[in-house]
Amino acid sequence: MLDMKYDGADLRSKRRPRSWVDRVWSFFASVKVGLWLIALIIAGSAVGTIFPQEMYIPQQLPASQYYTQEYGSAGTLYYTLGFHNLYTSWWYIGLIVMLTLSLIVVSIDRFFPLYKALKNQPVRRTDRFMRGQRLTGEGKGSDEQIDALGEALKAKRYQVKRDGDALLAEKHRFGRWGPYVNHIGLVIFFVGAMLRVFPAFYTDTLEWVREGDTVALEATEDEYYLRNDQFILEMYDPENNEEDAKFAEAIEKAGAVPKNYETELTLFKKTGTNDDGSPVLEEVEAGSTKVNHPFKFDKYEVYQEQYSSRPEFLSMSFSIGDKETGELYGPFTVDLDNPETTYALGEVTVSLKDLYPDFEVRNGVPDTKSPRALNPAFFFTVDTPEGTSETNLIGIRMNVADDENRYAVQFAGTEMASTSGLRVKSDSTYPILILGGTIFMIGIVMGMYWPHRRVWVRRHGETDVLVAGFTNKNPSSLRREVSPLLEKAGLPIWEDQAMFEKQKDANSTTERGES
Amino acid sequence: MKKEKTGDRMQQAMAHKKKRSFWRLMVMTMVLFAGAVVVMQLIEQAGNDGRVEAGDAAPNFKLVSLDGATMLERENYEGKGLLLNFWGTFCEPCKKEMPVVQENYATLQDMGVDFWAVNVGETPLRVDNFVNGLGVELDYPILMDTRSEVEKAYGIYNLPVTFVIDEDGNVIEKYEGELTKEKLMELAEKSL
Repeated sequence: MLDMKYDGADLRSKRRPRSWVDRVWSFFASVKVGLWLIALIIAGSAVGTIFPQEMYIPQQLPASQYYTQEYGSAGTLYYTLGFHNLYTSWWYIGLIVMLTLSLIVVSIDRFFPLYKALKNQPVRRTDRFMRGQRLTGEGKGSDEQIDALGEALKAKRYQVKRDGDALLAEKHRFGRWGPYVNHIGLVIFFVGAMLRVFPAFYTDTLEWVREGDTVALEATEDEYYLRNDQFILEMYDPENNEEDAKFAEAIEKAGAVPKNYETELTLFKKTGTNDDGSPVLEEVEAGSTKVNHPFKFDKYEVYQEQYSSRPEFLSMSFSIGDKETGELYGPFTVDLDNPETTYALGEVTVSLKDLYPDFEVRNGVPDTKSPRALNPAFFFTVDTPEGTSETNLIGIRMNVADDENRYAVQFAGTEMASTSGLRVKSDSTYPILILGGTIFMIGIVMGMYWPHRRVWVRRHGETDVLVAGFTNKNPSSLRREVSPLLEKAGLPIWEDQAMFEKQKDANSTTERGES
Repeated sequence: MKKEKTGDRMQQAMAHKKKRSFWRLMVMTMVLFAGAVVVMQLIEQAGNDGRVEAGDAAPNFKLVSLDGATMLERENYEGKGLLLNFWGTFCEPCKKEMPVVQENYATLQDMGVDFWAVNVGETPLRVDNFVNGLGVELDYPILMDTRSEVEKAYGIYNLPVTFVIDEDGNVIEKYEGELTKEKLMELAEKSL
């Protein structure tokens, strides 16, 4: 049997390579190489899922220690070989690039010869060619019968060409382009995927924004600013909400169940810079972002992703009580970000001498653990009308004051702020990926559902006729389609040679039909 | 006649082959070049996790000093070298290195090197109390990064950290840890 791959066309890469360019070309034109590349990519990708990627590990530990500590020596190996950042490792990208090159080279190498071979194919084929087809038959027949078959094939929507007594009927040739269309789709898809390394196409940053704060968005190169107006955490409340009451039983079992995480925010655009270096901001719009319902602007999306479970204090209010008269002065409010240092409250004046946002006692003196107002403490002096000064150290569940003090500092309220973790994303590669994926699918469908079918008929000798059939997919359906037509026309019925000889004809590799 | 014709054909075939080789080379070079650009971009990004490191340009900033009297901008700095230090009152080594810096500040200035200490987002009240509690008067500028923007721009993680910046605004070295006299002098030399 003849080897009908690429219609027997002379593949460029199969010619003996001359220069190094041709050698490299032949290497990438090899389907074997392509399959190896795919196998390596699949194997690599699989290994990359054994342990979590670096972006998913907790941030407390550097990756160099985390993998060893968590997974032992396997983890060390994993980290050393760069599997912790697999999908952006140079060798993984290198494999993808080589596969892309292989796809392009293979397509060029095969498409053009195949296209030419199919475009210029003769109607009259040699005996040897006819007999070399998988479906072939020989028997009595006449020109009239061939004409009749031609008409019948036309009715089956074959394109019928005649050359004297020879007939070539063909359909769905475009199905042969399926693999190349599919390769083009893949290449577009890979290009899209690789464009993601460029910030112009893909950005992804997490911004922590405290309620009331405005931050520059790094993903937008500080062009846009976001203010967190309010963070909302709603719980299912079966007692007060009828809707939620339906789930009362489940909620009782699970404890408090959050219903909604939401950040109300305002978007600003930077229009200039003030003299003191601060940005001039212009309000663009206000909106909100909920889990799975991002706030969208420009090409960016803002996702509600995290929140800080420890709210920070924005301000604290106090009042001053006179222990002798029971009179109350105040309240006054200390802004923790930008505190006033004196508060005149009629009879008494309070001075804020120091403020520890995250209070601790270190080396026997009050100090702060961090600049974040998580556990604030205040050092106040109260100037009495008598001209004396009393000192107080006030914190949460802490009040260090002299027992003899006449005035007591009392808590009068706090204002807290939650912090939202907002994921700011942009991805302009989606259209490219969708386009690539669509073309890929079109190629697959073309190749899968439209098998290229050809039927050759020609006279052989005075009274005999040769018939041959070729399809690149599903020969039995070609048989089912055309055999009845042959029978009706009274032409010889073909046989499926492959049914009898499973082994390839030894000649077929050296003699590639005729081209 | 016939010989000439075959010669012609040979030449044509050769020219065709040459052209084909050229296009093959072009296709392969273009794909590999695009791949190389992607890999380079990746390598660059791997080193750029939002933190300023040696070799980067020092981001510009404008900050007001603790006493509110002066405003300093990195780009307007006219000395030779600059040591840009980040610190917080809650950081023990920061507290220890400050008198050392003060002791050697005059020497640094003679070398043409300035030392700017950026406080990371604390209140002036706290910083004032802290500086007064040090027991030495600081001559070098304490800058107040009240909105933590400079801290974010430089990607500060550990304190104290000192960036050695040269005349052209490039970061020569990033030193994390307490400054001793020797270290301070070494960094100052490097900034020149």
